Amino acid sequence: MDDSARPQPGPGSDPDEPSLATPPAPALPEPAAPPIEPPAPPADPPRHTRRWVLAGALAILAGGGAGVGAGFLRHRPRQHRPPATPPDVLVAAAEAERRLIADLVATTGGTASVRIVIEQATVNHRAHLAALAALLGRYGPPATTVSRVPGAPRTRAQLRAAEQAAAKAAAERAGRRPGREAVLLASIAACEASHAELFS
Amino acid sequence: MSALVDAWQAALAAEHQAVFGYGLLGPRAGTDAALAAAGQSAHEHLRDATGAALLAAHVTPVPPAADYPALYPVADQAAARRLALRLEDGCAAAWRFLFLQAAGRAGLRRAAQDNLTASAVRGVQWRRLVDPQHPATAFPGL
Repeated sequence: MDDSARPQPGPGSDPDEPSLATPPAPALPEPAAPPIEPPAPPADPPRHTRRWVLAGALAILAGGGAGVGAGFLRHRPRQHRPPATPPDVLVAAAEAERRLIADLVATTGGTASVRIVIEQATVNHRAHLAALAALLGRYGPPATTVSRVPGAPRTRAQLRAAEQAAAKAAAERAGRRPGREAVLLASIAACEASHAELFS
Repeated sequence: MSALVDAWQAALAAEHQAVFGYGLLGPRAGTDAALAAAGQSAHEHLRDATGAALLAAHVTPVPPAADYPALYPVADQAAARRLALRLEDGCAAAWRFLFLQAAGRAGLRRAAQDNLTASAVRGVQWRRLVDPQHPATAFPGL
């Protein structure tokens, strides 16, 4: 709204002209002196009969029972809903991370600079696996127990090839998932490509 | 559609900044001059390709800023390395965001994924010079 359109009293306005602001309150009459009367006797306190107490207790019990019933009805369908099946793409991504970790852990040799990359890559893959496990957890508990993946010592070239293959697979999986899952897989793919670069 | 275009323009803006930043750090790159030149060339190509793709989609590409004061100063080689890493991290984040917004547009999504990966790879080349004990980050662009 444009306030400039409103008439505003200003320093140049006529003091005799009535203001458009709130008009002055009319003068209040002087309060009359209160009549001197004796105070009224206090009313009788309400009597709580046994019947009233019983009715109150029943009302409280009925209200509590209704609340418990409503809560039960609200939670009951959730308990019986079967857990959704996790997408194969996410399960495969988690499995790929386990395999990469197992091989990196089994590879105990290498120069100091390669060891740094192996340790860093292992930390990164564990972070990927944790993020994927969090996503998979939204679909309910796993149907089968995750078996331990056996790893094998690898050469630097083999580790590089494994990271390259993992990056390609993760990028392909990212294209098949929506939203947060796709973004996580895309970021994992980029990380694995960067590991391949470090192993080169 | 608007969120997609915003993300696309943000990716182009990140590329504009990277081109400017590489120009700024190049003279201080010292022994990393070849790496800096490769980075500059890659971002120039991406900037041009992204602008052309936006035009092809009937969208006017955002122009570069006149200056990028946040990128100054680049006093020495160490500062040049840190700036290059910052530029790559910024580009990775921009391309990741476009990847998120480009759901349903397979070609654009693939390009965003490729560019996110390319920035992550250039990022580790700089990160291993800046922080040799922690050369890689688990979630590039996040």
